[in-house]
Amino acid sequence: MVLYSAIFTIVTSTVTSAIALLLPALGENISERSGILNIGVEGYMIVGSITSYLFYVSSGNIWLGLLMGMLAGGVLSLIHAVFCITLKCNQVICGIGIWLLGLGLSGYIFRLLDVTTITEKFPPCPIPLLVKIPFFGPAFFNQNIFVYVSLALVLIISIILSKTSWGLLNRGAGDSPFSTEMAGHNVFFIRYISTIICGLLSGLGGAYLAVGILSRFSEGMTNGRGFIAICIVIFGGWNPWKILFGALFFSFIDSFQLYLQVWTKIPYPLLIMLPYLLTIIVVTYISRRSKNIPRKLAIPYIRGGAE
Amino acid sequence: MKNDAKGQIEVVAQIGSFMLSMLMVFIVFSFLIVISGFNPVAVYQGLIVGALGTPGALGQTFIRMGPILFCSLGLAVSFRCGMWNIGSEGQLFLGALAAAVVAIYLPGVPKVIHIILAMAASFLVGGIWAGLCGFLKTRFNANEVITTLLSNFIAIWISFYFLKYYLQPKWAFNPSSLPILSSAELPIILKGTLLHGGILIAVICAFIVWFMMKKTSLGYSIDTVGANKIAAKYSGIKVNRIILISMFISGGLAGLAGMGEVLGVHHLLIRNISPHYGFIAIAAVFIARLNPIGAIFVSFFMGAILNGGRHIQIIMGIPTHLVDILVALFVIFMLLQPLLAKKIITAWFTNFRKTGED
Repeated sequence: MVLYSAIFTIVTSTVTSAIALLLPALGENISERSGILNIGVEGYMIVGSITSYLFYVSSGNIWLGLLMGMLAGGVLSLIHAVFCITLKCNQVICGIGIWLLGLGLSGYIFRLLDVTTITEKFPPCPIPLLVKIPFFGPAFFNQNIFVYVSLALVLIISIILSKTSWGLLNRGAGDSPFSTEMAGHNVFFIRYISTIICGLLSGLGGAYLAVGILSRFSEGMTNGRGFIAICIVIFGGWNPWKILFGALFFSFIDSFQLYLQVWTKIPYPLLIMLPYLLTIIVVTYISRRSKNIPRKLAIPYIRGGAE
Repeated sequence: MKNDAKGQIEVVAQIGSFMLSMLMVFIVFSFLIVISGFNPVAVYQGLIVGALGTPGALGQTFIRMGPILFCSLGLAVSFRCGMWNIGSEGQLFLGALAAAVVAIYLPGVPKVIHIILAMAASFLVGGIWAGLCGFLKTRFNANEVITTLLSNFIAIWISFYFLKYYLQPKWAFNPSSLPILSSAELPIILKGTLLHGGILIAVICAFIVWFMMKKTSLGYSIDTVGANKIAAKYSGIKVNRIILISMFISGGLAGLAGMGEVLGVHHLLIRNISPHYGFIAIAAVFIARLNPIGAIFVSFFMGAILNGGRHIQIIMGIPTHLVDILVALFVIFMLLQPLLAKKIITAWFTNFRKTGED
């Protein structure tokens, strides 16, 4: 019975917290497919966290908080887009700058306003009938409404990317921007939209982390989740369904180490580093034979330019 | 004669574009200060007074400059090799751990030798840690940005693990080690301040790195690999070996930054040994345009900003994170510098041609 409840707790929290990895990873997937590498996902997330937290605390409306967090991430990604698409700067360095900017801005605003209220959580929203399934019902179908929305997003994004013309353009801008332009499409526009979608989704992920999971804001609270999200994209081979699996997997490791921290005597610093260590190992393993990588990833496009 | 004029224009364009980027940072930053409700003049004044106002403040600025200089030298080596090593912060923590272990648990060693041993330990540990990420790149082609970045988190927790479970004495409440032996302490070099000898070591390292990059075949190979891996390979350079060496040097120098903090500033190992020196160094090295000698001046500038930031927190109640924002703005806007330089040169020549035709 103890074991059952332990597994149940781990699985439930895995699903809840996977969303904070899933959303940025989906966004990063879209922008990487269009050829723009967003190293600054972590920055979008933390800015989304602080914005949503402040708006939720001041207005009391959790949806307004999430929306504002999402927009904040989008605004920051617009800066990245201007520098990397229009001005053709180095995407890695710009991403690092964006990350540091997000970290600094969030900490600055947080210290300046000094709000430390602990917010209320989302109420759980059980799905009738499905919730009656033993074990899986309460673990998967007794989550809050936002989890369902995010899971639906995986389906929507996968359909858009694989079945619509926009998905093809998105891929074209990353694989062969010159032919995409020759076919009469604006590569810059496609890349802008993709980068901003990445910012919006990452901001939403950070917002959910702050108001949906942890109910508070603390400095540097995203704790490398943005970077793990980038790894999940590589892990998932630029496929939304595999990315969902990756997010669940990494989130499971995180929940598992939290459980071990509470119930075993293993020194906790060793457990905390586990997800990071695992991410490095997985990225190393995958990188040996990564084939799906967008061919023009992180290479700025010059209009009408040489391939 | 003609070439000479062209060279002069290029120098003017480089300096002009540098000034323009700095001006943009200044404008954006001032705007941020104004919308958060402070007086920008007072803030800048506070920053300058806090950084340079008194001998003590100047000493503090130099103390903060040390680790930034060490880290940015390391970053310069790896960046010039085309390896985006973002792991200085973690390498610094491990270097500090290694230096502390040598400095605390090695009694009866003469003073200078003890310091050299601690330096060697921190260089080795930091270098091996960075070299591991380099190995993952050369052997498995794992993206070094991601591996080095995540290695920061791991290194910081490893350092904390050893601190809490091995170095911390039983009676201590906060996680901090025993004080280091007096034979390992870096001497104070300026009476009346806390300025320690670490800064001299850092400046000497800057000249060593400059010499290595400019005058030795290793430096030449590193630059070649950074410029074009394929060309380097066909000119007979062992690319993978150069990448590993550059990562080792890079991590080692970041490790020395940790050594300076333990042996010179705190005289023991504490949990938060670095206020993001490793990340600030990224901005520093870009402003210095990957030049080791330039890094000396830029590190001083960064140290001054950090020290001034602490001052304005005390007197004006502005969170020190304001300084983090400034650092981030430097990273982003320095990206524009080469672009602006090109624009200036083009504009110059188009004007020149026009006046020539008239």
